[in-house]
Amino acid sequence: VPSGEQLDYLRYPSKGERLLVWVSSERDQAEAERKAASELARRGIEVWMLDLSFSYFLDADRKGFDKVPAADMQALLKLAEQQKRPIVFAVGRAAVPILKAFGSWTRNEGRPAHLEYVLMHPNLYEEAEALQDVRYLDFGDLNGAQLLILQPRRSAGVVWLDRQSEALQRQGAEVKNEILEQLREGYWARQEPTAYEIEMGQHLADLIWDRLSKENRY
Amino acid sequence: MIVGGLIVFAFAIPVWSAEFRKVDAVVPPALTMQDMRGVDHDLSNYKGQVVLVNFWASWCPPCRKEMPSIQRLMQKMAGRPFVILAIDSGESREEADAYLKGMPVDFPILLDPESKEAKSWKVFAMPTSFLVDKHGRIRYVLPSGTEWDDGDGWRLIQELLTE
Repeated sequence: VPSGEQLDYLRYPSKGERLLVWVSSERDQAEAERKAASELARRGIEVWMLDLSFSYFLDADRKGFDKVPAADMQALLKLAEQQKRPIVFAVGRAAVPILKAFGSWTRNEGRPAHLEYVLMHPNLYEEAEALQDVRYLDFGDLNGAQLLILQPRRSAGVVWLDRQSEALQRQGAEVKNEILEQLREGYWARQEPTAYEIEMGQHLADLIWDRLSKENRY
Repeated sequence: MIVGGLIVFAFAIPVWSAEFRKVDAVVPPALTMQDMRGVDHDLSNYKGQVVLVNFWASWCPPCRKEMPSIQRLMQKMAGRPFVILAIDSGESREEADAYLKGMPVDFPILLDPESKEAKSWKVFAMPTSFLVDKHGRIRYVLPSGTEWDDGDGWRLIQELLTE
């Protein structure tokens, strides 16, 4: 990629037309994610699965991911575009570099008219200090970014979904929110999961598959 | 398949023992709520007392971890001008009941099912606690859990009481 780093990823090949670029969160990649990717590939969606923490030796905190160069993510998305019809799935703070990539990509540089994202409990805060107004990151021009945001109910993030949507819409994105009831963020890999989280964690591929179908994305 | 990652997983890192943030005597948002026993609470009526306002939820591991220490804190502070208001955010009475059945507490639990208070106080993490001084001003914020009957939390409450 342009920064000189080697961007490793797991590739789950499939003959279908769609390509899911899966960017795992700052909390690392879980076995449940890899199983889901494998299942989606079996159903006809190719998956490229990235672990940016590993590729860039990032700190396991939300600010670490902000250091990923947008140009690198653009290069990845360009490669994906050349091969199939991509859709991005990003978890937690991983939404930041992949949105920056789109926001700073110009039409002259080959930016597609539309790019679809499914963002799992994205963390898009610039600052979020108690008692102070929330500030969201500026990603640039998000016109053409179609975002489906999946937010587990059991999270403080639910409270701020409307503000987050407003911030993204101001930047040009189309935003849809969906609450995932009875779940916590990262439910597929919690240390002390509930029975329901265990069950739903085993159906991560179904969740994504259903949303892609519902949104006519597949 | 290209293998792309060292697999070390730690999703449920609890938010625990971050630093207390000192704030500049902020006037708190209005807080008028009824607790689960039907008692009305108005934060502005607690002037002259130090108040711990704690936002929590039963699904949150660090909230559950610190809850016994809040109960011990209450017991240690008996008879002193100190009040605890624990606001269960984003949960129903049934969810609160289910948790409190296994973790009974003597301090007031206030229900905020629509998270209106959490929004008003600009809470972005669970748990988040606020220490309000005798003049009714917020002096410290802790956006994480702690052991309230020991350490910094205990020390700051004592300091606020002696002012």
